[in-house]
Amino acid sequence: MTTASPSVFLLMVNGQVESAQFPEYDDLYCKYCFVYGQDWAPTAGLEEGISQMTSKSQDVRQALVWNFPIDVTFKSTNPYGWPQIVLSVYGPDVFGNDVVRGYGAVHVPFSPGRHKRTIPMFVPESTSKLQKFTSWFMGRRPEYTDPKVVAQGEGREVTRVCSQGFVTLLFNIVTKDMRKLGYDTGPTDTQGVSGPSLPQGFPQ
Amino acid sequence: LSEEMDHVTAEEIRDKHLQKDLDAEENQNVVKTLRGKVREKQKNSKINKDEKSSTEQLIDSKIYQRTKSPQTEVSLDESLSFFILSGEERSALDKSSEQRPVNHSYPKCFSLGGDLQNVDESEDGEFMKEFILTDLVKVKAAEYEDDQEQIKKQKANIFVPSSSPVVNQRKLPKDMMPRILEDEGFYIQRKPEIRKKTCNKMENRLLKLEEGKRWFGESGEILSLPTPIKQSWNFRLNIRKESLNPLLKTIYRKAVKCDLGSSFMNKIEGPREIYQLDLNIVGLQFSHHHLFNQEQVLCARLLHLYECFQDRQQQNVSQLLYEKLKALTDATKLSNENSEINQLTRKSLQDYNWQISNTKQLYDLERGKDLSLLRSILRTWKQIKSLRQHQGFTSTPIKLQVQRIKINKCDEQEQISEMSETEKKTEGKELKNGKKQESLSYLASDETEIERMKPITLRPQLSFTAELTSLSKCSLHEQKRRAKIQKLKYFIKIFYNNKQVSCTSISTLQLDFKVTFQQIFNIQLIYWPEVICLEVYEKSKRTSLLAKLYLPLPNYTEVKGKNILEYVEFSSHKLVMPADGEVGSNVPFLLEGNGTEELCLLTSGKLSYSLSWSLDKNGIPLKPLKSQSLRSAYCSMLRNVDARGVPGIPWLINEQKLFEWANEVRIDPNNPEYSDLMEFVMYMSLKGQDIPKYFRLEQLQNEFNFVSEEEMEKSKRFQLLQLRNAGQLDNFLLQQMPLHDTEIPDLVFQEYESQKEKEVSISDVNSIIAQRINSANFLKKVRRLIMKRTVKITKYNLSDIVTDYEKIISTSQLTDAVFKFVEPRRKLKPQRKERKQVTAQTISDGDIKILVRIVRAYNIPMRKTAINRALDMSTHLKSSISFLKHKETIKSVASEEILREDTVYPFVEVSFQHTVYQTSTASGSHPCWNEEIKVDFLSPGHDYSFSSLSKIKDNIYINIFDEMMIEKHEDHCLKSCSVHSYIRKNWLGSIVFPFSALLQQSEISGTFQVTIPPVLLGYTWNNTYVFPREDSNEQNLKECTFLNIFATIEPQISYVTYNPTLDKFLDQTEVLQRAQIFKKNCKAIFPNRRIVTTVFNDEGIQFLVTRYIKALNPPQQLLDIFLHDSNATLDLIARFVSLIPFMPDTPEENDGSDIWMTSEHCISLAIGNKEEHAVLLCNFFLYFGKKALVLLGTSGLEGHVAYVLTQETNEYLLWNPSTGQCYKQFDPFCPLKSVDCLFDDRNVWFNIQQSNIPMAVLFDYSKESFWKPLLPKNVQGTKVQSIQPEEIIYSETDKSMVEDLRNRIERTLKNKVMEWRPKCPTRWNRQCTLILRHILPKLELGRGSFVSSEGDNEFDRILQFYWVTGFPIRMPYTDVQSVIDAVYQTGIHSAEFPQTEFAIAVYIHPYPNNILSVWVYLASLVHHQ
Repeated sequence: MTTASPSVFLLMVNGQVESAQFPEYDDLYCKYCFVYGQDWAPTAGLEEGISQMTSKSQDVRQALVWNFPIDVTFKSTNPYGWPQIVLSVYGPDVFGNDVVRGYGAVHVPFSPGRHKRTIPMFVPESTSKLQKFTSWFMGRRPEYTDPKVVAQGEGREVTRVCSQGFVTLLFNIVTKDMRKLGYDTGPTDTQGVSGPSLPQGFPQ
Repeated sequence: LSEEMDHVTAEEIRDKHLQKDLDAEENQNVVKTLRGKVREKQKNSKINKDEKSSTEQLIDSKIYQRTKSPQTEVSLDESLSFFILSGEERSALDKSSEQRPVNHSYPKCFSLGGDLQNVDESEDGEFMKEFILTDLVKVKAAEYEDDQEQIKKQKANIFVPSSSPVVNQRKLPKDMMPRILEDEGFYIQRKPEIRKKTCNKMENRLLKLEEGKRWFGESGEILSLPTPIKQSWNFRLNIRKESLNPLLKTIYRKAVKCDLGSSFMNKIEGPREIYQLDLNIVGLQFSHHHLFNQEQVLCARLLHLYECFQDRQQQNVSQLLYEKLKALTDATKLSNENSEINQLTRKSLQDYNWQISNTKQLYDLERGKDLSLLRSILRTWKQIKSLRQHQGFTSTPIKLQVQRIKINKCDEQEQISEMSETEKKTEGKELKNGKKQESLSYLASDETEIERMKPITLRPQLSFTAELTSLSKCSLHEQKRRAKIQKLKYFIKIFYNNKQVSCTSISTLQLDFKVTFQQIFNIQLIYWPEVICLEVYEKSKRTSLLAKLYLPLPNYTEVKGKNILEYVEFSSHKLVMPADGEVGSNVPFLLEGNGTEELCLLTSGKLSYSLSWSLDKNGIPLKPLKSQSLRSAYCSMLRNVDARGVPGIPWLINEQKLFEWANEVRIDPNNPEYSDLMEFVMYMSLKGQDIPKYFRLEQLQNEFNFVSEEEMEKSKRFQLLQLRNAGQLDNFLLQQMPLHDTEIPDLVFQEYESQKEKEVSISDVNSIIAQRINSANFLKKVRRLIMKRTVKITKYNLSDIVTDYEKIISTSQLTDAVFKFVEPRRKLKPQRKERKQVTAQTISDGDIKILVRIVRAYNIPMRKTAINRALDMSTHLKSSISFLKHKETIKSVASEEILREDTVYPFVEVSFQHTVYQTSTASGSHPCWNEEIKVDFLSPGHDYSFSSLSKIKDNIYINIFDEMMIEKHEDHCLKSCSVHSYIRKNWLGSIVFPFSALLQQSEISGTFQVTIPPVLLGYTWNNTYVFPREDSNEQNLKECTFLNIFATIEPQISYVTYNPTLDKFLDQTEVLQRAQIFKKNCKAIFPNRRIVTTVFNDEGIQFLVTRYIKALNPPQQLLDIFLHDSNATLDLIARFVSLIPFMPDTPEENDGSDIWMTSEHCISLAIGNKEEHAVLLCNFFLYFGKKALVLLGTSGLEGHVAYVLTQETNEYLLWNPSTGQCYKQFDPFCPLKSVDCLFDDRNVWFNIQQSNIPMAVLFDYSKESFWKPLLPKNVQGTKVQSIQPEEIIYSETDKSMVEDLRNRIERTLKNKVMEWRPKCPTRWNRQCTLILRHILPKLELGRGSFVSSEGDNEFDRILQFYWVTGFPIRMPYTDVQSVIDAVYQTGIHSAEFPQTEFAIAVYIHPYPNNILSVWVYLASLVHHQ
């Protein structure tokens, strides 16, 4: 469909939710989903995913590795509402209840190439000590009704949060026709034929 | 040998430089200086000259290789040692052993010189051979050498430079004085530091060297490079956090934006220029102090007088006048002497005389002043003296002396002598009062005489020499006072530009009430000086501010050179009560000396200081040069000329004005006062056009304009985006925005445009339809506009965003949770559990269901059974045949049930959003279904948030039908033949409630009256049923059907209680504020009860609700109908109001702030919301003189409603304006569930009773314990002006339009019915339609019983052939669609029986102002067989 004037541009995102650092917690799994604007539509791939449960590595790093692949392609006519990936991490608490351990969101990188993102994660807090205790005791930590809230600015003023850990993401971005439509996103994005791309590490 | 060697070597080394040119002979001269012994040997050597030379050569050749550069001492030593060795070897030779080394030594010297030896080299060749041979042959015994000797020898060989300083002469070329450049002013770099001893040693050593002098510079010191060690040192801070001194820690300070003026302008620029002000604070001198005693007060006064006196003395006016006088008298004398008196002289004489008299007058005046001053000085002095005597001690050192001045002029000698006589005793002594007075009187007597006139020659002199009485001799008071004085301390804080920059040391108050500081403060300026302020603090037990002094800024010219002290006076009005003999401050006291004088003195004094620009080392004043920089001039000018707060931009704008002003005023350009301004003017004119004439806020805006405005406008995509952003693109919302303009269909815009146009005007032939649509659109628009203007809603609550958030209000909840684990489980005791509320975000399609439980119904109309009918008909003399026929038919229809008279099989249909659910069929007129119906529910746009759900305006219909079986025999054969049975349902009635009511209340439960059409053809009421409380209801309950239902939404959607924050309005008067507060308070007590205090009108202005209430006239047409039956009139009016179409309003608009139109608007637009209806009805009732109030509450079926409460003689009536029905307070079937708020034209009352169920509520709103009034009682009397018009003018409805509308509706309905029956043919029974048309107009004004009987008669003929079921529907006219929907709900079209015929009739009863009552009579007919 490479016509003279394309009507949409495409954004291909693949990569993975690599690992996480949650010093206090273990046995976590994560969910991801995308939040995007009106003019965006996924054309291929999975918009949402839920990973396996992972335990801490036994070495010093104590990393929680998921290596959970993301592969999705969007099309759009408008960069407004650029997709964001929303991550939410869950894990069991002392009593075995599944509670949320972190929310985080980041925009999908704009420029083509390989990008690594480390997102700080946070959870909503209880409003009082008593509340905190009961929520702990009853295994019902406060959580967002919709994780997509963390990708929006609206309504956040009513919540208070507490930071928890980090999740590292790896993105490989390919865009199509963006330059043709007048959106110049990357310095190295030469039209069509690009030079030897950035030296990349081993495929993981 | 060693001794000799010693000498020789010593000599050799020492005289090395001298030996340079030595030949053999010269050697001798040198050697002469040696000791005698050596000399002899030298002589020997002379004799053997040849030999010697040969040896020289030999050795030379031997050592040649080794000692190529024998200048160094080391190599020298080596060669020496070699010599020594060789000497030893050769000691065995026949030559004298001593001689050899000596000989050797010489050649050595030569070799050093390196000149001569080569001369003889060729000669030596042969000689050498012989010599060596003899040498080799010689044998010598081993020799012992003493250690001591050896050491000695070594010592001799090693040179030890002495550490004594070297004389300059030796270091420098002869006859040269050392030249020290540094003294001549040259810069000499620092030399590395060396110990003197080391240096000396080195110098000695160097002098030993041949060219050693090269090493010395002109100054006689060793040449050396400057020291490589840097004097300045860099220190790297150790920034490890833990070790850092806490004092060194950097503290975060928020960046403060400096005052624009000071930072931009007043900052004196340039790093080089340091300006410094020197402030010298010398001290304080109190002219009055609260610790003064009376003596001191007098003393201060004396001082003051004395100062005045001295001032006058300095001015010396009297002296001048005196001299002038003298000159004038001389002149007159002179002219008098001139005997020739001509005109001129006479004139001048006159002039002289006049002048004399004038001057005399002046002189007298001045003299008098002087004298009085002198007199008061003396008086004060006297007082002091008497006081001192009186109190017995002296506390001031003041002393007055009066001197007489001797005037040398001879002509005054006489006077002086006279003076001296009188004042002899006073001279140099303390003046005695009496004598002084004498002299004064003398002076006074004398002053008239010109000749005797003379300047006052008495000169008082103050000195501070009087002895103070020592402390021990003083009275107790005085002792205490002095102690107090000593305790007092003072210090001064210095403020520069309102910032404290420094503080003087604390100094004590001296006994003479002086405080000396004598401190100089150097103020280095960064900012332009604006204010220099000193604050004087007094410190006794606590510190207090005494006075604030502002120092004038120094001139440019005031540099430190001048040492004149300046004085600033200060005073403090602080009140200090006197205690120990002192006088205090600001407190009246009596001076003892003259009892009548009452004084009240304030603490005052003066501060002596000097403020000037300081000088730097070179005597250059550290002051800003006037013209040093235009910028600073500019800023200083700004300070001087313009007092406007912010200089800078506004200044730049007004620069032109400034020029104009400067031109106008014609400022002297040479006036130093304006030099700043002139400089600025010059500067600006030089700068010229650099500064733009305008100021642009967003200078970079242009850079971000990618395309021109027009292009932007043209772009379809941009327009679309804008529309979408404004939320006006509903149909395009979920799509992607096309990228190119070509892809955007014009249709989108057209749609939007048409939508817009539709709002503006509707072109419909029928004015009524047009009016309806217009007004609806108009209202929508108005509402939207006003809401946009007024309401801001905070969209999210915590519970919306954070889930699983159980609010914990008390600890009991926690304990409950704990106990839950412990408590015994009783399986047979179910416990009620609150349903969990679900927030909208989590809900997706299919999650929500509406549950409707149909429990049971009461008193459903029964079919008119055959028996009944037969019985009825017998009265009408029916033929038996027909009767039999009837009986047969009915029998076939209802088989055995006829006998039981239980001839109704009702079932219930629930329909919502065009989906229909149905219960099973029960039987009897009091059926019990107890069935739950789950209605699936889809929200438009898949948005389940409360606000979007509340926009759903669909109703939930609960219809009761009677299921009827009709068996049709195919042939006329008997029952054995095949029989087709058809089911047909007959509509009996319905309950309708809006979805929003369900959403608001979360559940609807109870028994509700079913709306039953006034006539139900083919059905009749069961007479046997008796209601339990029939006696309490006058209403004919026999003709009412009731249905018990329960409905809810599952899961429960959390009800968002909005607290819309209203914008502040300019017209927010006190009353409105009060109303807001009242509302807030009420909401705090009962959050679930409704209260409306203020509303907006259609112009967006806020009003108190009470202003809507005013008696208004109903249409005259209605009043005329029942002239004598007031109750009927009221009913009619209520019906009229109920016929005004309703505007569906959403709950979110309903609560916070509503928009109410006036009743006039409501009628003219023919649309209104519930509250407007209620207000209108209330106003009509008030017209009849009834006591009526508007009631806000909640209805079980309708959600939030407004009723009208009227007070009858002994009861309260509740009117529902939406149906026109009237309920009594204790009517159990009144749908009103809660009574929350009442208002009339005077006040608003909020229900604060425990229960708000109508039956439990006491409606006596005068009791404040039950009803909380908005306005207090005293205000209630004042009636506020209503915003309603005086009178409503009604217009007649156009009959032709009504007729047109009627036809339209009828036609549309017929088409629709046919449309709904796609499979069967629809037959219309003309006859029946005709009858129905006749009946309908009677129904409008008729009352139930009359109509039904009349109808029966009309129907008689048809009933003979048909089985007729039918009913009229009555409704207000809003639009055609609503009529169609109502018809559809009845399901009359669904009759499957093939031979069914239909009849439809429409009648519209017009009321004024296009308010219409629509009647639709539907009937279905089945032909009897």
